[in-house]
Order: sequence, then C-alpha cells, then structure tokens
Amino acid sequence: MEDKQIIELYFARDELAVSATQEKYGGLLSGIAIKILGESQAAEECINDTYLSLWRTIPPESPDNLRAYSCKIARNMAFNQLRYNLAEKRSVHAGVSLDELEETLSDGISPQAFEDVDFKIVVNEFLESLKPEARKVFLKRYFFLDTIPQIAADMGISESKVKSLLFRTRARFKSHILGKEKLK
Amino acid sequence: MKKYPFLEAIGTVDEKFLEEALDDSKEQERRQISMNKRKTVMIMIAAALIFTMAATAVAAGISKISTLGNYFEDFSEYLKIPDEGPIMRNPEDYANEVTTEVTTTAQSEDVNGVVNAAGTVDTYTPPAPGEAKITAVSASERSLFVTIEFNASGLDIPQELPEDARSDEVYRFHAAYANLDKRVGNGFKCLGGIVPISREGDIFTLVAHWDSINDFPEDEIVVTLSQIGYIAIEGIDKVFKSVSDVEVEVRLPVDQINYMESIKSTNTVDIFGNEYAVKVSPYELILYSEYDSSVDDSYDNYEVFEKTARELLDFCKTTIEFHMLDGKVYIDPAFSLKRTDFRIIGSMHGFVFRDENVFGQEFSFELPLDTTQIDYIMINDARFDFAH
Repeated sequence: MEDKQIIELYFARDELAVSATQEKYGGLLSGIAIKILGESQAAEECINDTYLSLWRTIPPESPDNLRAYSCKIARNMAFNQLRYNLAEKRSVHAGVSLDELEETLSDGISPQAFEDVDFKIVVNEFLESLKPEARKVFLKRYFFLDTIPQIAADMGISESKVKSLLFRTRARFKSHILGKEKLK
Repeated sequence: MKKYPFLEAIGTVDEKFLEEALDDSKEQERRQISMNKRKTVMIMIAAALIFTMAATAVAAGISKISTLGNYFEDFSEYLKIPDEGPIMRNPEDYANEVTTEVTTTAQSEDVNGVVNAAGTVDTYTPPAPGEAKITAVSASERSLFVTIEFNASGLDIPQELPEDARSDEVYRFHAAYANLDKRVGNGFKCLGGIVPISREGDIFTLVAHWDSINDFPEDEIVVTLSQIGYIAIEGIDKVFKSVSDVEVEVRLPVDQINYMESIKSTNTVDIFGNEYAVKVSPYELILYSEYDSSVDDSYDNYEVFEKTARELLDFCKTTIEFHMLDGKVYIDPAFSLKRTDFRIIGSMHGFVFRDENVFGQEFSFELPLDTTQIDYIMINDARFDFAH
C-alpha cells in the first residue's frame, strides 16, 4: 500500500492504518528500537507506543514521508524508554554500543555547548551543508545506528570509505557546533 | 541529565534527510550504472590504445583506491580544483577487481578484505592489537600510495588531544619509511608523506605516499611507521610531540601491485638538442629523453650533464598546459611565479638512469589526473600529443 493511502486511512480513523504501517515498516521500526533497547520487552512496548503515537498525531499531522516520520517517533520513544530504564537502574543491553557512538559523535564537546542553541536548527543547517553521500553515511551511523559494515554494504562503498567519511564529517560537525557556540 | 545527549539530539533532524538516508536502492542503482559506464569507457579507450599504440597496449591495472579517492576528494577542495577540472572522478569506480590479498602484516597472517567489483569489502578483519595492515594500494611508474590501518589498542592514546595541539589537529604517525629507491644510492629508509584519514576507537587509518620513486624493490615493500603523536603549536613554531614511541612494520609483496598505466606522447620535441617525449599516468607527468652514450659520451661528463639538466629545469619552469579532448585547457604555473586559480603539479624532480641512458624531469600531480581525457600537453612551447 502506498504511504498516501495509509495516511488517508489514518485520517479516516480506520484502524487498518496501523496494521498497514506495521506491515510496511514494522521491521525497520523494530530494528531501531532493538538497537537502542536490545531484544527486550521494552523494545516491543516502544514499537507499540510508536503506533499509538502515529494514531494520535495523524491527523492533525500529515507527514510527507511516513517512513521517516515513523522512524523519528520510534527512535525518540526508544531513547525516552532508555533514559527511564537508566534512571530506574534497570539493566539495558542495547543492540549497539551507544557509549562508543556517543563518544565518537561528541568528540570531547561538552553537552553545554549546545544547550543554549536551538539544536534542531543547528543540526539541520549542518546536514544541509554536507554532500549527500557524507550526509547519508552520517545519519545511517548516528540516527539509524547502523554498523560500519552494514552502511558499506547498503551504500555499495568500502568500509574504509565509510570510516573516512565519518571521520571528516564528525570533524566538521564539531567545528560547526563550536562555531555556533561562539556566536551566542 | 541525559546519558546520550548527542545521539538524542540527532533525533531532531529533518525528515527529508532521513528519507534520503533510507533510500539505498537508488544509490546502489546509481553506483552500478556509474560503474558499468566507467567500465565501458575504459574498455573503449583500451581498445583505441591497442589499435593506435600497439607498443603501449597494456591493460589498465588499477588497484583498489576507494580510500584514496576520498583522500583526493578532500584534497581537491583544499586546492580549489574546479568541479569540471581534469582530475580522475570517483576513483573508486576505477578500482579493478582485486583477486589477490593485498596485504601482509609484520606478524599476522590475517586475510585482508577482498574488494569486489562494486568496491565493497567481502571479507575483512581489522589488524590485531599492535599490528598494521595495508588495506589499499595504488601505484604508477614513479608513485606509490598505500592505505594502512593500525590497531593502537594497549597504547592508551587518549581521545582528547592535549591543549597545545594546533586547531583541527588529529593524532598521527610521525614518519613512514619505505625501502624505495627515491634517489640513486638511497634505497633504504625513504621518507614518505602521511595523511591521517580516520580514527575509529583504536584503529587508525592513514595514507602514506611517495613520489619520484626511481625504482621499486624486487620482492616486497617494507613500510615502517614510527611514533604516534600530534602537531603542537609552540609560539610561532609547529612541533611534533610524541605520545607513543611505537614502531610498526608492514609488508607488501611487489607482485601484488597493479601499476596504473601511462600513456606516451605520439611525438617527440627537440629541446636544447635532445629529443624529448612525455608519458603521463594519473599520478605524474614524465618528460624524458634517451641518449646514446656509445656515440656521445659527453653525458658521462658531469659538467655537460649538469648543464643539460639545468637547461631542462629552466625550460620547465614555466606554465604547463593540459588541453583536454572537450576543448578545455587547464594551466598550471609549474614553478614559475605566475599565479593561477589552482595547481595540478605538486613537485618536480630531475632524474637520470645511466644504465638505460634515460634522463628527464618528473612532475608529480597533487591529484590523480584523468589521462583518458588529455588531448595534448604544452610544456613551455613544446607540444606533446596523445592518441585517442
């Protein structure tokens, strides 16, 4: 089913909208949740919450990209759940090494650096400035939390090129963030 | 407080970027088309060369250079090479299928990744702690580029650079030596250039390169990397400061290198009484002359040869023009004082091979040139044509 038809089902308050979303994007959304929360009950609940959120927000929202919109919700839900689990000192076995990803992405920048800036604007400006290939690799790694071999295989490029692109994009990301901080 | 503030903040990206990132099928299709097109072009050019230049009909052999491609792409931005410039585009598309394992490490027998036609690595294992491996190699008659990964696990190299590091600095090796004959009589410990490419955890990737190589060793190239550190600023000086005095060796059997082919000019030009020809590979332009020492032994006279070399050098200290098949002309000021928007040539070296009765000048390129697009080259007022 086309995304447009699924969104029409949401607007018509037809519950088939949820099953159609699940059928089309369930695997992708589960993958995101599992990377953050591991194979767990929490990941399953996170996905159910994602469908609920879609049901509640469409309408009034009418996303241009249902797939990207759903991914964003699933990811945010998973991180909310992760934060809750960590605060409650519940065990978390993420599907990927979030500590390592956070460390390489932040690269020594203090979180304070962007607390006073509108990160949404800053990060979108940054992404806009990148070449498409570098942007895709960056988002696959840090939004979708894909592994380097996975990215290389998906994009048909070598792992060393993925690493090189990530290295240079992170350096630009750092100078972009720090530049914005200085402009405050 | 959020434990993963950066990862969470990335969740605010615009959906149009996410959709783009998810759209792999179009990307793979584009790459496949590009690859097929490039292969077709290469086959046609090879056929033309065989027809018109039987003597130089050598099948193109270009090793995997995808990492190098990225390295050159960044360099082209730095050098302000225009988008339509004559550099080799998408160098990874030029990669041939590597059928042999292009690596060795000093102690490990790990099998390196084998690159398939799409440029992806089918099998790959990173180097073991303390070891290095060559993951890519590209060479021409007088240039060599190798991509090396080193596992610095156990060396405790911090993620953070010390405060005295220059801005945008990264951890790097201080030196890369190879057993290449760069100067006559200097076949050992030939110092190369190093460009750091990436650091992923403890795995450091770098490109080491050498130009003006007179001769490659017969059996294997041994590269020795030493000292990991960073460039610090002390007053107005830049100094290298070591954080680990590690020394690591990596070996590359010469028979596993596929050398990029050169194209030769179809004509020769008289310069100060000697007939010169040129040959061009993606990495260098070589202006050379043959002489018959049995007829004219004046070349064995140091003063006469010195004079000839100096005359040739002066002749070359002018603009060099690359005339392309599409009519565009790219002018490099070479070593004149003329200023142009960008440079193609990075360095110039004279050479002489007395055993082969050949001498000349080599011009190393900053970026790999697309030799298939060159119509003719002007050095000073000497024109050298190529068959296409």
